[in-house]
Amino acid sequence: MSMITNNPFHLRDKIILVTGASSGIGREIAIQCARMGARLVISGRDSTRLNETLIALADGGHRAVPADLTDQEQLNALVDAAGPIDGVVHGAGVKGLSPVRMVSQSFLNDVFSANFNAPVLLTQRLLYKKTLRDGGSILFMTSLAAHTGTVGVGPYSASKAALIGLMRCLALEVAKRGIRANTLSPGLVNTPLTNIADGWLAEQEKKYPLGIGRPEDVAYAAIYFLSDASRKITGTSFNLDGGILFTD
Amino acid sequence: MNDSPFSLENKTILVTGASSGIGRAAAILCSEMGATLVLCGRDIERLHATQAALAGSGHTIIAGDLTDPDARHTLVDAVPVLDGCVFSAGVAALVPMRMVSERYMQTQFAVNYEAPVMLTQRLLSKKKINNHASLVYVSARAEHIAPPATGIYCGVKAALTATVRTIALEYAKQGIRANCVSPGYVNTPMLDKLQGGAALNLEFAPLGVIDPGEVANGIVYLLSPASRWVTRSSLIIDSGLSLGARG
Repeated sequence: MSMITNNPFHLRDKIILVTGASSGIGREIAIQCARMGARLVISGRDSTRLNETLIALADGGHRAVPADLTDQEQLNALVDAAGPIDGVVHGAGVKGLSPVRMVSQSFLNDVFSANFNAPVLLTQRLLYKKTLRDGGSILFMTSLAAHTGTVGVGPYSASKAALIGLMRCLALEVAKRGIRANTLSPGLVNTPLTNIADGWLAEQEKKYPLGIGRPEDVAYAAIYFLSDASRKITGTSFNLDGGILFTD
Repeated sequence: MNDSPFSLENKTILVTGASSGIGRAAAILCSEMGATLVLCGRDIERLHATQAALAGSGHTIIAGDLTDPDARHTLVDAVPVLDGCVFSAGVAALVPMRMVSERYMQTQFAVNYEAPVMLTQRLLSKKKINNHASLVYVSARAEHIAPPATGIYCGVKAALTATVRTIALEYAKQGIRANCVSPGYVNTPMLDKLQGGAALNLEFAPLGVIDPGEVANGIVYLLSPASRWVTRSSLIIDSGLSLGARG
């Protein structure tokens, strides 16, 4: 029998939009939000994998809306299809790895278009259309990489650091409606995006005092930041990284 | 939600400063989330009042002044092995630098740094901290902002945060985590004293006044298995107060 008599960590009566929900951290956030009582609108580019996520959600009127958020028309269509929401998790992103001497304009455009422009423009549309309700929570996914120097990760780091800068200004702009904006900065999490070569993750794991993360570690943090339990938290960048001291 | 990752069921948690403010709110929420509490503070009557407000049963009180090494040792001897600690006992006062006295500085250091750090040291050396336990320290958002008249308070809180980050590294092997909550102005008796009936405009924060319960929510997140991978971190709960600050 449960000994819990009051649990503020839930998302009952909330509708949450999660982008990048077709795999990895975004998918896990959607699954855990559904477990905590939210109704989900999930989005991603790959409709087959997005439907796999939809099937994995607990029962309860969830919807999948495939969209490429670098396309303004698809972005607009997603906002229209989602309708009123109480929270959004910008989980969609791309890797963006390149040493600076190899970057090109088109590469930078692609990285920033997916990692910065898309979540910002989606937020713009939600605010412009007034579909993010008062008291809502906006959560951007940034990265340990936004705070640390790592060889070859410049464009990715920059795109994530840009989100943090934007989030602080956004937080002030939406506070009068009780809407909050925050970023999560996870270190390395075991996902299809990072599990790219045998042995690489195991090598990286040694740098993390508590090991590398699991997608649900990020999902649980997202639940806290989406729930009313965190209603006085805004403008913050929260580190979850197993206590890492140095990257390289 | 029997299987909530935020559950504190089957955990024993020590809360210092449990007689009022953030400590009291944290103790109450911990009990509502299923934990068994050990309440520590100086005022036995107010500790009883906190105990009466707790959900569940089996909670205990150990009164004492944690700036006294003997009181710390007595506490550590008396507590069972702990799955979580909330170091909430603290004191704030606004003193401009030219008014700072040795005595003021020593009090700030003793209450806000020495007591939580040396209590942690004793708990660790006496093996009263379980593997995979979570240690949560109440720091202050001001430590990074350093407004006027807070030179010693912010300095001591910043020192605490730095030490917590080291503890996190040293005990990660045992899965023990150490984090801070970093609140802005919270509506507590300590703040009432700080204001002296005037001065601070709490409505200035973009999301308004912070209640102790809001900080307790963050503390419970950091105590719970939901934050299994979070250590060496600070959770800012400041209602957006510091957004315009250079930090």
